[in-house]
Amino acid sequence: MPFMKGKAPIRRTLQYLQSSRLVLRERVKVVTVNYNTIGDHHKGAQEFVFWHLSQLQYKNPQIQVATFKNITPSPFIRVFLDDGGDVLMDVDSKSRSDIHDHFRKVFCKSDTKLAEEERERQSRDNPANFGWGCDRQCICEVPGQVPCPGVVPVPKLMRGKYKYGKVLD
Amino acid sequence: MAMYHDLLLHKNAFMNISPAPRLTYNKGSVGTREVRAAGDWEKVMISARHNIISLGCGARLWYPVNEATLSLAGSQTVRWRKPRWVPVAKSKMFKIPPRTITPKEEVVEITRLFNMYRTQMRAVRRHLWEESLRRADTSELSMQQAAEDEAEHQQILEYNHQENLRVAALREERVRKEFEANLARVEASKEKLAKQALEAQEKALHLITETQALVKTFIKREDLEEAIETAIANPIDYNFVIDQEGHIFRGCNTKPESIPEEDREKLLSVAQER
Repeated sequence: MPFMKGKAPIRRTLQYLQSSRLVLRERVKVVTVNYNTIGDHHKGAQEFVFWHLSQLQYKNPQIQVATFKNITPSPFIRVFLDDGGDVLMDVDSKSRSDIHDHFRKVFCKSDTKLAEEERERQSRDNPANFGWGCDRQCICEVPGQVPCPGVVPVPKLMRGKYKYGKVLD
Repeated sequence: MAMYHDLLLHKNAFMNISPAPRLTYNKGSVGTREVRAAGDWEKVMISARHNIISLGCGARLWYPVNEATLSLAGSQTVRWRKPRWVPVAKSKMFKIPPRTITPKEEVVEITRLFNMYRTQMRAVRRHLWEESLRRADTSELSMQQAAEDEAEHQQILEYNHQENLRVAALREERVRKEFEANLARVEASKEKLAKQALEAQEKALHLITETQALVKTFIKREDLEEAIETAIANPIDYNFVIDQEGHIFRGCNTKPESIPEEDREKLLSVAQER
């Protein structure tokens, strides 16, 4: 494990982060967890935050994830949607796995949806494309195509300024 | 026109070339002023060139530029354009542009190719347009999808609500139990305190009665001589002897042999054992 810092450094490994299935729906914009650091009925929430919050943020880098500690008598998760409304999820005396499953069912994309998106993404990645974000920057990099005119000047017969400009004798 | 002349003046005055001309506007016609000789134009051009170089905008122009375009310096400049009032050059006045004649076969071939190309392009464009229509936000499929998503969302909210209710019931139960436990704890502590108070009181009372009894045995000042006399008269002998059978013989003058067996005192602990 690289740089074993903190209580459970496995949470910092790529494998752990990428293996999570907590991909939030498009509607969800902000996730807030309110819990206390001591208390039996907060234990599930504490563990959920400890183990799964980093995974959640890794899979949803554009979503705001915040925690509020020691201001609530009973723990809850509040999720804010894009239409301004919020959804409250009571997690009093629930276990970590319960909270994880419930959260996934209510707020995250289902397995089928994720698989569908994965398939779409693969089909859209046409290996023949070139340009920004693709394997090749320009068509001139492909063997068999016209070389880059910045390196090898294009013959005059193919240049517009000669074809339509001066008359070649 | 006026600006153009102003620029000219400005340039000439600046460069101190040939006497700066004084413009005299004749009423009615601006055009009637002294016409410059061709030589002056060149000078003007050179001066313009120098001026541009000396303008110091950083852009050095190596080709001559008309003064009118100087105001555009910095933006896209037009390379030399003939002023509209200058007549057509002698070499080009009677020039007839050649008429391009394409052979018929070529025309036919080009038309054929062009038609093919146009058909293909239109087909591709139409295909893409139809695809965009299909994928539009307001198309049937998208609306259906949106409705389905909405229904799913409502379902999930309902599920979450039910779950919340269930957990709320459990929470109420737990809170109630905790409250009762608290009450019981408070009661117990109150009882304990009460008991402790009672015990303390009893102890105090006991102490008082003991002391009262003790006070009675105190010797007062008036009775002091009497008490001393009685004490002297009745000396208490604390000496004693114990034998191996557990008999105790009090007094320093008593001899164990003088006391018969039956009258011998036995130690309490020994007597209890036997």
